[in-house]
Amino acid sequence: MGGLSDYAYINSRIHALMAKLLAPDFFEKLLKSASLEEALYMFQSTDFNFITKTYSRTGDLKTVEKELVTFLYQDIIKLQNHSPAVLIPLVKALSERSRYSAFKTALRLWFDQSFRKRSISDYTEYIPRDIPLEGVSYDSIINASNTESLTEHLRTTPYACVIQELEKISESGNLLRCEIILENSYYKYLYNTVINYSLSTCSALVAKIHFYNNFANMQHSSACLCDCLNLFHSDKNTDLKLLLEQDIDMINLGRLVRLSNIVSPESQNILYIPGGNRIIESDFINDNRPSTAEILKRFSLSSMTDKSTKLEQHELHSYIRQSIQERTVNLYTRVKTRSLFDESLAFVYIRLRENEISRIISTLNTLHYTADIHGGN
Amino acid sequence: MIFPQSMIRLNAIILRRDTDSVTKALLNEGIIDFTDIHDKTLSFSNQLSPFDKDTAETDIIEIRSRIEQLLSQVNIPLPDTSDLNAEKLVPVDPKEVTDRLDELNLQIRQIRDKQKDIQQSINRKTEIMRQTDLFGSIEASPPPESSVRVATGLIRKSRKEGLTQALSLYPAVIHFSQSTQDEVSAIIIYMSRDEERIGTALDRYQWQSVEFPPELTGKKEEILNKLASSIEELNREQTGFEKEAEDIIRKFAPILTESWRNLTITAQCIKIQNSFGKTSDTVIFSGWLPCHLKNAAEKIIKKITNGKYYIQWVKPEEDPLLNSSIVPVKLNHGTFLKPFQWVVENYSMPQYGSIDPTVIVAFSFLTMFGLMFGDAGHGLVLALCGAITALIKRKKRGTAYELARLIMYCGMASVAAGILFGSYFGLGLFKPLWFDYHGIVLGHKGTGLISDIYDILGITIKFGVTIIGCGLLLNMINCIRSKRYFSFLFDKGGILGSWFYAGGVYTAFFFVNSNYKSFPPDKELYILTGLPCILFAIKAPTEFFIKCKTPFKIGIITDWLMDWIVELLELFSGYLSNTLSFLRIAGLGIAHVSLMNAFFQIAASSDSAIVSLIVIIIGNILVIALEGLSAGIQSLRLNYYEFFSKYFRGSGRVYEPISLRQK
Repeated sequence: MGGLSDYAYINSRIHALMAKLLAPDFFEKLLKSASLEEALYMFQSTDFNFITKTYSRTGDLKTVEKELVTFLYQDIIKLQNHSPAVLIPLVKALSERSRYSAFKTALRLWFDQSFRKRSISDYTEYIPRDIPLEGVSYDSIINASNTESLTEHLRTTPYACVIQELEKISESGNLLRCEIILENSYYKYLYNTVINYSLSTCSALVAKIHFYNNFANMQHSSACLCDCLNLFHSDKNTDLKLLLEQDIDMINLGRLVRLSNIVSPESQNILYIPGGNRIIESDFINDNRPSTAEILKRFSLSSMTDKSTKLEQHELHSYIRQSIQERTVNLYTRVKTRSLFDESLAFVYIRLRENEISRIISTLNTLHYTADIHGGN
Repeated sequence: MIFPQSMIRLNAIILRRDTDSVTKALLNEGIIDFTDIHDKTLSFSNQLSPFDKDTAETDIIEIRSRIEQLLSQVNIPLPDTSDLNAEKLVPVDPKEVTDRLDELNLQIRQIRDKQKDIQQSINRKTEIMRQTDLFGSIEASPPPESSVRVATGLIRKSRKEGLTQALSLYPAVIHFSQSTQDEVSAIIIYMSRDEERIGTALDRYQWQSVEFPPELTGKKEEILNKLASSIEELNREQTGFEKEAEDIIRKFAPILTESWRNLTITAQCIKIQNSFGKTSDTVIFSGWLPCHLKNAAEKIIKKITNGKYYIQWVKPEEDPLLNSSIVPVKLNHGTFLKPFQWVVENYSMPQYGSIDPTVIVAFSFLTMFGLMFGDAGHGLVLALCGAITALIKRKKRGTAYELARLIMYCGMASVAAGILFGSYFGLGLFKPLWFDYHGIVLGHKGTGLISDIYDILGITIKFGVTIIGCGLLLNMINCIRSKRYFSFLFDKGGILGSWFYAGGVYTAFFFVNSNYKSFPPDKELYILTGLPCILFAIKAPTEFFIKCKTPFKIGIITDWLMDWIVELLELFSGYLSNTLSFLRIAGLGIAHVSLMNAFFQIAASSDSAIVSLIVIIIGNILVIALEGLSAGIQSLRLNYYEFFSKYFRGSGRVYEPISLRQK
């Protein structure tokens, strides 16, 4: 824990930035917008007014997404530039997440073009090039002629952890393992950074990372759940309503469903990010399925009275997601109100900012696809 | 002027058929702060059904906000609401407006789809341009590590367009060069990852590969320029579409604006009718208005209903269910006092029937500011800044305007004080009308009543005593008006508290005037301070026997004793600190003089006249900004905490009539 002089400025700055985060009712109003166009007008009086201009100029939601992702990275870098020396490693580690995500985007494009033989020409300009990768350029990844060439480019970079999996990619036929390895690598890097802080700071940060990993794991298990419930085999509009209620990220949904179809139940264990709890497919479909109480216990959640015994799978899933979200918000609120001089504040702010941006992207996409469905009807 | 405006409650019954016309007429007039008819303070509230409405207010507001967002997109200001007239309301079908907005959205969406396609072309061209730029010089065989490939060959003239079209789907550039009668030679630069797909396209258009013609070497700049101009062209197209979308909104703007006006009136009508109740044939409503508007309201209702109405007027003091926190409050001061009304409202709205301190605040605030910032030159600068800002903000009114006017008044108070103290930008340019503040602070012996710094401190203490005394007096008036006789007698700000304070002040001044040697005679001292202290002892027992909440036990006497001792301690320390708090007025005034003196000394230490001048200018700016801010804050603090705390009864409900001027 640093002294007043170290933290006074950055904490005031973070508190000011937090006050500018979009309120939950903004998102409620956003989702109720009659069209994507009108939803974008709502950003005119916010820090995100640039997306209204971008959409008016290009009519392209993907360009808007790219700008939002870049904005997030630049926001974190700005915070890093204003941070005292002791806080810089943590903020830098948190900014790495944006780089890992951008790297994954490039890797997916390379995979689509090299293995699925799809033209990626329409997507390469959506790579957030303003987020620089370490030791490798986006062009070298997407233009790599084969796996050997790509591994050669990655050998001396922080992304070298995927090389072993890339070599087996023709057998697995998907990037899932690579993505999970990257995610684990990122968290390893984050834990390694956090461990250098004092014991109290470190434990406070680890607790928060743990909550965040719960989210990530629940996201992964959404794929299994969607698959189990065969959501896409029923009526389309009902699905959409259900998905909106469950607040599942629309962008990742298709990918997750696809992944859940191609991954065997055994290999789904690797969907688990250490440091968080998990629900895996076997929790839903195997004969030796654990009881609801056991699953709730895994997330340190108390029984939901009599209702718990009658819970359907998606209800349970939804309940856990909601509970984690509530506990996270409580935790974040405690940090916001309690700690004036605490490294956790930077972590909390960046996570809230990430959530905010991913929520904007998913809401705008929802509105876009809803309009498409209505248009199609 | 010293109390909020007298209010009266209107309870009216009209025929159902007159509902809309009465609503519109009252909306136009904008004088009634409607009360929900199901409010508990209305004895008949539970016998009435809510009034039916076709459309919900929230729906109207939502549609209105959709229009507002669209208009703001093309910078069209919202219509002025001052000329709205409810009588001219054209009924609006919310569904029709929603459909129109949806149609507008659809048209814009179609444009956005076109823009999206163009954007993808731009993206492709941008990528090949970036890659070509990285590529080095264009030669027959590009380096193997390059991600760009070059193809040179011949194509029939008739297939030229088709090939160009086919390649536009990829990040690729085609540059045509020399041509013969039937064929044209061309160079294609494309991404190596698209080699297979480009190859298929070339085969389809019967492309004949040829050796790299030497005349194409060095064409890189030309190709890049061609690409850049092509991207520029596409961007121009994008701008054109963007403008087209804006033009569509502009085309709809008159209809949207008209709809917005009608929706605004409708929303306000619905808001009013939300508070109505009904029986089978009648509609009942209730609301507050200032007493002097009573006749105007009745006249309107009488006119609209052709005399078929019943009105009951209820004064707040006549109805036991109406306490002062329910009655809305309207402070009505002239333009001059508005900034001080804003200061009061900023603290809290006074309760109905209690003292409205605006006038007193105007006097105390300006006096305090003048004493703390007594410099005619600095005051003039402040006054001018305030006046200019007020002039700029006069159209919007609001907080910034009132604040600017407050600064202007403060500046003027400083000018007046500066003339009294003979201070002009820290210099004694003219003879002071009262005393030489600067001279005394700097150690010169003054003439007249104010001869040294202690006399300045004395003035502020006397000023503080006056303000606190005034607060105590106002508290007693408040207590009598609100019939809180126990508080009138026993509160810290009541008779006993004031007696004790007056006695304390007398004793203190007696002590000071005797050169800190003696107190008043024992008898005087006992009557002035001892007696009220003793009388305070009966406060707790009196309260106990008046309220009679718990049975009497002998042990309670100890509690009374403790209450008495604690109350006396609080009384003594509270009044002492409140009074001494006013010393800050002198403190800031002295700081002002000292700061100016410090800058003059720094300026004098320089040999250069220019440097001295710069130091003096910067010093003056700093003093105006910092001291001005400090003096403003301290004046506000003294008013809020030392003065208001003595008597102010806040949490009043603001009188908010529903009118078309509301947004």
